Amino acid sequence: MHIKEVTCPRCGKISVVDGGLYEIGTIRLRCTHCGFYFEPPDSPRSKTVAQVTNANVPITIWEPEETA
Amino acid sequence: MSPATASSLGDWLEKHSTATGLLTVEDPVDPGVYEATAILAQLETPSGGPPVLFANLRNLSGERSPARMLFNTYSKRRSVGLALGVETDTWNDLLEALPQISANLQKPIETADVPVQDTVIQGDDLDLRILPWTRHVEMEGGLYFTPILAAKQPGSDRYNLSWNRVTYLDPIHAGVHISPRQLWSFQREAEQAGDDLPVAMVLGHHPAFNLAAAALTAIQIDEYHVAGALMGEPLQVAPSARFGEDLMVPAGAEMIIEGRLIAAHRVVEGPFGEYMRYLGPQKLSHLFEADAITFRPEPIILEIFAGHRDHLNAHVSIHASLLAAARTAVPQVTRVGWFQGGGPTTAVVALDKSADGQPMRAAMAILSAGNLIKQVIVVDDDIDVFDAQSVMWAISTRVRADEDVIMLKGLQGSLLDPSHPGFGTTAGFVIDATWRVGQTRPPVARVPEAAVSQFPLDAYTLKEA
Ligand SMILES: Cc1cc2nc3c(=O)[nH]c(=O)nc-3n(C[C@H](O)[C@H](O)[C@H](O)COP(=O)(O)O)c2cc1C
Ligand SMILES: [Zn+2]
Repeated sequence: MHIKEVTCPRCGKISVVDGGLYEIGTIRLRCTHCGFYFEPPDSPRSKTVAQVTNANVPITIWEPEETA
Repeated sequence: MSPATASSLGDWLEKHSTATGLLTVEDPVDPGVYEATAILAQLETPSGGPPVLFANLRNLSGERSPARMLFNTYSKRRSVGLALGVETDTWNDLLEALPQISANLQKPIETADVPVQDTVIQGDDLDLRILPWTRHVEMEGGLYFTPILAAKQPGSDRYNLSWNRVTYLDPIHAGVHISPRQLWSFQREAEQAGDDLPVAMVLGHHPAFNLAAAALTAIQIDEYHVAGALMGEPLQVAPSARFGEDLMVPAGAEMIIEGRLIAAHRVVEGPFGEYMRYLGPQKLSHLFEADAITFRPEPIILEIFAGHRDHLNAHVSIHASLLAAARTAVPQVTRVGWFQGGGPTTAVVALDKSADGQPMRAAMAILSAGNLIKQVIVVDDDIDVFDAQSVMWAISTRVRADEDVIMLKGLQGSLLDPSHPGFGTTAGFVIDATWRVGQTRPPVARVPEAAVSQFPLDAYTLKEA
């Protein structure tokens, strides 16, 4: 998978994410360092969840409860 | 001893503790802060590290975990052999032995003696935090285990085993990375029908059980039968605590988390230290919801030292499948090198060539055996496929790039390959570094053997400077 580096808006540290996941843009990424969930601000929003997961049903993204 | 415990992980460890060089750490260790892998990193050598059993582990609730944890089961060639009942230090012996061992498929036997259900935790008491979740390498995106997932194909009685990385999400949820192979297709089938897929996460069993999970098996073959073959006796199975007969689980396992891969949901998961020796990135992975934790008294979790030799060597069954596939297509194939002769996306094939089309045919067989290999180098039998220097010598001196390097486009690749864009296609190559049939080969520069025998070194005085 292509790798994209993203900077956490809370702790300022870098996490590595799948390029496809980053290009969806509407899915919150999880900071590897502090656990903060955030949407990548500069994503091209050029990919769909279906393209990235190769699933053939509509997909809901699940997050643990204490992430808001 | 009851048959269900005859091939338990504990018995295997005890039997081979001296031969494997097993070390036990009794001190309290917190694997969630890299404490276990820090110890392993200091024991690692170029030929791997000894198996290490951590006896006193902190769990996610900050208490002592009911489970102990074993790492480096596969780190040394010798213990990979002992897992399969083969006495050897040579990797190639294992590759040669595995097809015969795997061919002896054994039907599982249902048993009423179920050590793994000695303790069953369900309902409100269920809490994944009782387990010693582990951080392996820097930048890992969470706490992990590397269990074996057992699942039944929807609408059939066939079981699949696969090795998957699993990350803690909350007291009953976990994220699972599943490559587009057999488990993935079972889940997709269930998902399309709107169903969750019941799975048993097996955290520890006889080490041959885990090797069965990594084998590239034809889809019609039940991998519980392959586990029996590799363990040398039928797998003992029993109804699961949550799904009863709808999901039969290995009775002699150490610990099992029963649950479901939830349909139509995904979760961000990763990074994780992968066998490519890079971290696989954070990605969208499958969501698991736990229904029960079951375990035997003093269970031992079999955990992989991710991103290290233990992790690479655990792929021995896949490596053996590549050799078998190449040799089925081209009987002249003598050896197949993988990790030792390049990265895990590149294979090196040696053959005793009798026709010029054989290298390409053998390469194609390996490329078709699974989605792992994208690049194949084919050499003559005088080249040591496990020695990168020897392979480069053949590439440097036997290849004409315009004729012998064949580019392949539009291949399915491995999701973990960082040069490859996820579900798009990748490219590959075949390098035919063999001499042409009938081509006159140059003599190799060496002193005559007869001269070496005639003038032995000890007949001379060698003065040091
Ligand atoms: C230690 C180890 C860890 C692995 N982790 C994963 C994983 O997280 N996800 C995955 O899809 N395959 C993983 N694999 C590879 C699969 O186990 C292997 O490809 C297996 O054949 C896939 O099974 P399946 O085709 O039966 O689904 C791992 C293999 C090993 C040896
Ligand atoms: Zn952060």
